[in-house]
Amino acid sequence: MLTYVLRRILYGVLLGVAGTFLTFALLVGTGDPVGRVLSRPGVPMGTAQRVVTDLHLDEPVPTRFSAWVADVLQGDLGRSATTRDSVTDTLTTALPRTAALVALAAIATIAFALVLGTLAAGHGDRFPGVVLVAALVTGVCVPVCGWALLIAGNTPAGVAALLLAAAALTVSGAAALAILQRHDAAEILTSPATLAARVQGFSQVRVLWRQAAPASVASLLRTAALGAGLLVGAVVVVEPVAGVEGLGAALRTAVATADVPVIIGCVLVLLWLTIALEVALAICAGVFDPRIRAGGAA
Amino acid sequence: MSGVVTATDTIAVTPPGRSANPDHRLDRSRIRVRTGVALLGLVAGAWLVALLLPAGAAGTLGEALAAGAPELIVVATAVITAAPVGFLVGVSTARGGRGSRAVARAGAYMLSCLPLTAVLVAAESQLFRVEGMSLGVVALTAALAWIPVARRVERSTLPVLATGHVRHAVAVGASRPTLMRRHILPVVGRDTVAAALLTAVAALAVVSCAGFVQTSESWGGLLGELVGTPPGDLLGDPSFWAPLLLLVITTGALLLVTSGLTQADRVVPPDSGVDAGPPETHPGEVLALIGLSRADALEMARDSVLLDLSRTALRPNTPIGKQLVETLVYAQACPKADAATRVRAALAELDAPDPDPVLAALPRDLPAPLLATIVLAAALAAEGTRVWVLADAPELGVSDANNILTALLERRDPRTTVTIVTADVGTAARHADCVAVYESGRLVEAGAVEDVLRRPGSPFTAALVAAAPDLARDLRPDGPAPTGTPAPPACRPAHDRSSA
Repeated sequence: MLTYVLRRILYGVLLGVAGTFLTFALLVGTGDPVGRVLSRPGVPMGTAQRVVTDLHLDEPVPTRFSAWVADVLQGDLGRSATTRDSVTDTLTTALPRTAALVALAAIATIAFALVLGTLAAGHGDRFPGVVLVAALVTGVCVPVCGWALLIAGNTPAGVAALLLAAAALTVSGAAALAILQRHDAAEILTSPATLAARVQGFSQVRVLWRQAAPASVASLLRTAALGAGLLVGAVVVVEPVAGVEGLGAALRTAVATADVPVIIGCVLVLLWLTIALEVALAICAGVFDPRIRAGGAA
Repeated sequence: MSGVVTATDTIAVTPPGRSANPDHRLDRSRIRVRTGVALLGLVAGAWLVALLLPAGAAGTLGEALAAGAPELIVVATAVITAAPVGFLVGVSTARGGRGSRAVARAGAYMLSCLPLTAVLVAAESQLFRVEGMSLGVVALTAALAWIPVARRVERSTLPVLATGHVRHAVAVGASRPTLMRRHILPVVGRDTVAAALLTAVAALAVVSCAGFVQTSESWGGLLGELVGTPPGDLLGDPSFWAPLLLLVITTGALLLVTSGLTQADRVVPPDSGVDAGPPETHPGEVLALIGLSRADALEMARDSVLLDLSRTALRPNTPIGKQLVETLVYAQACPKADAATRVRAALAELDAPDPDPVLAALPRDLPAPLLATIVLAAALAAEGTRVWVLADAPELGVSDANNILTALLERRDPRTTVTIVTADVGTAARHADCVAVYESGRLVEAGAVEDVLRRPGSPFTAALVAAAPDLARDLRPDGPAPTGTPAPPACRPAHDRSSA
């Protein structure tokens, strides 16, 4: 188990390093940030020169990257091109809110998916099951921005906003996961082991909740781990709508003002947050299924 | 090779995961019906959106549809690039060694760890834009969409390459194109398209959300303009419903076609159920049922003690001891502490090794004969006057199964009735007093083992007996049954007896 945990963390760190480089390449190595900044309406004078010096645009790319990495390792992500605030400070205030939102949404998503998917599997193609499946499919088809507007729109800031934002993230995520969970649980219900248990007098309810549900938790967690990127990405949509002052909201503001240092900082922190979530979920999956621990590569 | 019919061309394609049983059929109607419904849904949805939009207002149906250009282009890009690239990469990683598979896996892992919407939003602010449509979005979609498809294709291709006839095809020199065209594409093609459509759904979600954040010209962007509106007001606003409906319908149509493609592979089993119950048995008798399906056997075995020798009868992730004790507790209403003691006592009697590590192991960690011994111990620990044995276990083999059966018959309470379900005539001949033969769930004939197997009354039984060359050795010479029980009564099926 310890080997497995260490291996997952190692993968995560390797991926984080690769992703950090990619972020740099995508955002700094491409396009014309100066022209981009100048073409935006409402960008203050002097910003162009700041962007050039802040990003070391007058130097070759490898030099820029190493200088940037050295800065990042010291916790210095530069200064905002528009407000001159330290990016690190902005992100440190925003991160706890986003992290809480993501954690809350992830836990609720998995819990709802497990319960609803197992229920739907237990009812098969009969009446309540069909209604449940229709509801789940609707949940999947409405995009997360639609749910955000419907659930979290125009709420007062504070804990309520955070909860509603988590609810919006949960609805869209849990619906998709629940459909997969239904499929997994239904497969277990028709497995020889379960049929044998039914013959030996185990009740349908017991087989469903004590055998099928626990047996499919591992694959549910694994699928949730694969969807970590979508969940964290959706934060960018939900936070501005709900008025949560987290990383997503900061990214949105930064994009509107073409504030490159803040954009890079936000994407980087969101990337590491996704990796942390993925690693945590994968480790949980390993706890539930010894086969994943034994043979599991990525 | 043109014009020459090779051996590889004549080998039939039997896809993995599908039954070789001709009674099972592949349900292709699902693809047609669901694709049709999806297309109808698209048309009906567009019509509904046209109704929603106020007549003569700035937003007409044409404009609403045109606004969705980024989303539609991304969906098209995802499907068009992901399906062929994903197929080729997936097949080659499946054929390639572990190295290329690890690279593909790393790519997929990486994709799952990217907060895609955030990356897209950020990238869009940096990359080139043409006429409001970001080329970056299309480029990113094309660059990433094949990865999940390749993973899916790899997983579907591996079992195809492992099947016997494909190995034969490779051994007799099938060329790569032949292999691809005749063996891989027919099986993996549908999976490829389904995976590409699912990827398109994910891409659509990401792109609409990115548009939402930037309020760019797109369906997502139209929704993004409504940020700050109270949810109550949204419900009556056509400018909310129109783009939302278009997104929902597009997603729904893609998902519907996907489900048609994936579920077409679902094998439709023939109507199961046997037309007669098992033959009536008497205390102490051993009955063998030949040719009965597993599901039918389980149905008949209700309220009996079940001894299933197959590894699949145990849940893979739960320790064996826990499962056996659970069964005793729930099927026998036996106190928990008592159940564990009884299983251990039975194990000790069977000369099994130290029970503690064995009972704590997972089913896959034990060799099949040891596993079967433990299951036998649990069956002996159970109280019941009827025991059903599902004796066919591919991983166990006939001779080990016979040893288990012998041990069971030696140690059972002499009044316990044992019913052995097997496909092996030799097993039936060796252990049973009476035998009943089923063909496709229908009882063909029943009677004392000697009568039925020496003088088969039906062509089906005759064929079974002819296929078992060692049967003469297993059949007991005429004389009294060796189990010490009195000679069996007529062993006639219960329903025959009642109608007689």
